[in-house]
Amino acid sequence: MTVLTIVAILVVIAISFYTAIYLLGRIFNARNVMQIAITNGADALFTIVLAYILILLVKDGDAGILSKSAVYFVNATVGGIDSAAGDNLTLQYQKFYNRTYNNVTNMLFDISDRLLTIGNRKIGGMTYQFSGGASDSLGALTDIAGGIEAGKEGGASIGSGLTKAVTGMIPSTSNAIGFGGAYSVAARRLTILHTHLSSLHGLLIYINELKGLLTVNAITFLIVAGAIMRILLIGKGGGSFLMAMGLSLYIILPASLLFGFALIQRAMTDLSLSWNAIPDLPEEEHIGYYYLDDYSKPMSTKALDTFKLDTNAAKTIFLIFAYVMVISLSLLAVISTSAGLSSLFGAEVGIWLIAQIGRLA
Amino acid sequence: MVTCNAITLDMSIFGFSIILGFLFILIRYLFAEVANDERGKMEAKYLTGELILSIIIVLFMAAILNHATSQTDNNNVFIALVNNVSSSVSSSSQQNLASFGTSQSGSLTCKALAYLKNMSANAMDLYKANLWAAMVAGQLSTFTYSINAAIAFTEYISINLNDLRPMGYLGKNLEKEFSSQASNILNVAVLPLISQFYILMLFVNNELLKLFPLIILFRVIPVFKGFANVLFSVIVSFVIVMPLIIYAESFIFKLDNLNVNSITEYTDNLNAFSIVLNKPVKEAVEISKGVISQSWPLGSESNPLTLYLEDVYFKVDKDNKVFKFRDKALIKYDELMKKNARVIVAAAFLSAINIIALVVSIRSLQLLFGDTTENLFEMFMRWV
Repeated sequence: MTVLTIVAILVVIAISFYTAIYLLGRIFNARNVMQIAITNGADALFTIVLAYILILLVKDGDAGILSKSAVYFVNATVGGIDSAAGDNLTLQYQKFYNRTYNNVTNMLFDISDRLLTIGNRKIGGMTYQFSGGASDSLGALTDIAGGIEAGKEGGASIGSGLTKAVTGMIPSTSNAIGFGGAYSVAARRLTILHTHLSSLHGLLIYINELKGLLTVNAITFLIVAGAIMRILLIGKGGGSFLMAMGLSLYIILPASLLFGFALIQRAMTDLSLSWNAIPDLPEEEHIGYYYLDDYSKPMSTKALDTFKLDTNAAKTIFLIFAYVMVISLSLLAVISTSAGLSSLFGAEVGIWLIAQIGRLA
Repeated sequence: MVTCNAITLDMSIFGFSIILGFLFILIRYLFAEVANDERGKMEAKYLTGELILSIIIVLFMAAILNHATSQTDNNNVFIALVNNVSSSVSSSSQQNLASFGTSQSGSLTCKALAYLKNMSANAMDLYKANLWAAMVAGQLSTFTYSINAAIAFTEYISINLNDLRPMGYLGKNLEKEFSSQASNILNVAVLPLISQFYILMLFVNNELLKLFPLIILFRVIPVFKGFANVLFSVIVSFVIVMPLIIYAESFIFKLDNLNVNSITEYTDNLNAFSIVLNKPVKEAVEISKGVISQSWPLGSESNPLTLYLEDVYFKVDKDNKVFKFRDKALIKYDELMKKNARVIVAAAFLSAINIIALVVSIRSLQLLFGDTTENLFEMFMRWV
C-alpha cells in the first residue's frame, strides 16, 4: 500500500507537469510543445513503472529475492557461508566483515603494543658538545676519564655532536642507531606495518559505513529522487543514473564484498600475526650507554627475531593487497553496473563525469 | 539557528523588464520599418513572441520560487512532497525516517541551510577531535631536552638528549594518521559542506534574486539570450532543485552530535590538550637533572633516559581498542576512526549527489530553452 502511495505521488507529479506543458502548447498552438508533452508523458509512465518495480525489488531488504540470490550465489561458488545466518545477506556480510575487522584491528593493536615496547627500549639519540681536541668521542670519553687537561688545543675547537659520538663506535651516523640498536631497525619495520594496517583498518571502516548508509530507506530515496528527476525533465540522465546506482548499491556492493571476504578467508584461515615473546633483557643491554664501549651488543639480531618481521610482513602485505583489491573491485562493479543499468533505463551517463568529480577532491 | 528570511520578489522589476523589453522590440521594428527591412520586421515579431513566452515562464517560475522560499513546513509543497515520500518509505520498511537538523520551522531553503549548517558543525567538531588526538600523540612521540653539563663535567659544554620517544614510533604514526584524518575531514567533509552552505546562502537572498525578473529583458536582446538562459537555469537549480535534494538528504545522511567523552576520557574541551603529559615530562626533567648532576656517567642504573622512559604511563589496551594514559582512555581509537569514516562517507556521498543533480538540472533547463551552447559546468570541469 505504501509503495502505491509513492507511485501515486509520482503519477500526480507527472500528470500535472505534462498536462501544464500540453495546455501551454495548446494555448499557443505550438505543435512541437504538445508533442514534447505527449512523448515525455509516455516516458514518465515508463519511469513510474520502473520505479515501482525497483522499489518492490528492494523494499523487503534482506528478505528480498535479490539478497537471497546473492547469498546462494556466493555459497555455490566460494562456499563458507554461515548456515546459522541463513540467506540473510546483511547478516552474512556482517559476520564476514566482523571477523575481518576484528582480525585487522587486533593486528593493529598488537603492532601498537610492540611499538610501545620498543619505545621503552630506549630508542633515541644523544649528542655531546665538549671542549678539547679529542679526535673521536671514545677518545673524548677516555680523555675525560683520564682527566685530560682542558683546552689542549687552545680550547678553540668545540667537539662534534652525535656524529662524533657515534662514528667511533657504531658504523653509522644515523641518529636512530644511537640508542636501541637492532630495536631501531625493528621499530622502523613495525612502523611500516603499522602504517599499512591502519590504512587497511580505515578502508574497512569506510566501506562498512558506506554499507551501513545504504538502508532500504536510502535506496528507496535514490530511486524516488531519480524517478522525480527523470519525470520532470530536469535530468533524465542524472535521474536514470540515481535509480541505477540505487539498485547497484543495494545488491552489487554487499554481494561482491561478501564474495571477496569469503574468498580471502577461505584462502587464508589464519589471519592473526605471530610473535615471539619479548625477552627480558639482561641488565647490561637495558641501559643506554654501555655500547659506548662495545657496539656489537645493540646490533644483535635478537630484536628482529623477536618480532618475526618477515613472516608478519608477508602476511600483512598479502592481506592489504587482497582487501584493497576486493574493496576496489566491489566499487568498480557498482559504478559499471550503474552505468550499464542507466543505459538500459534509456540514458547514457558518462563515467568520465564521476572521474572528473574525483579530481575536484 | 540559521536566520533565514522569506524571499519576496520585487514586482516593480518585472514591470521594468517587460516595458524595456517591449521598447527594445519597438525600436527594432521601427528601425526595420525605416530601412524597409522585411527580415528585421519578422525578427521583431519573433522577439515579441519570445518576450511573451519569457514573461509567462519567468512569472510562473517566480511564483514557484516565491512559494519555495516563503511558505513554511507542510504549507510548502516541496517540503510536503518530501515529508510524504519519507513517511511512505518509513512505513513500508518499518524503519523510522526523520529529518536531521531541520527541526526549526522554515521554508524549503531555510531547512536546507539548517541541515547543511548542522552537518558542517558536526564535521568541524570531528576535525577538531582529530587535531586534538594528533597533538596529543605528537606530544607523546618526541621529547628533547638539553642540559648544561658544565655543572658536573668541566670538559663538556652541554649534553642534548634528542628524540626520546616514550611511545616509541607509535606516537609518530598516530600523529601522522590523525593529522591526515583531520585534513581528509577538512577537505572532503567540512569544506564541501560549508561551500554548499554559502553558495546556497548566496542564491537565497533578495539582492541576488533581483536579477531574476531581468531574465525577461535579457531574453529578448539577442546577445544576452544565452546568458539569460544560463541565469534562469542556475537560479532555478540553486533555489529549488538544490534545497529540495538537500532537504531530502537530511532524512538519509545524519551525523551524531560529537560527545567528547566518546573520544577521550581526558578532557571535555578539545582545546585543552596541553595538560595531558605536562606532569610526567616535568617530573622526568627534574629527576634527570638531579641524577645527571650527581652520578652520570658513573652509574648506568641512574641513566636519566631509563628513569624518564620508565616514568611513562602510556598503555595500549588491546581489548577495548583504546590508548590509555594512567588507566584512563586517552584516545578511543576505534570509536574515533568510525566517526571519521561516517562523516567522510556521508559528506562525500551527499556532495557528489548534489553536484550531479545540479549539473543535470542546469544542463536540462538550458536545453529546455533550446540553448545548445556548451554546458558551463562541463567547461569548468575541463578547465579544472
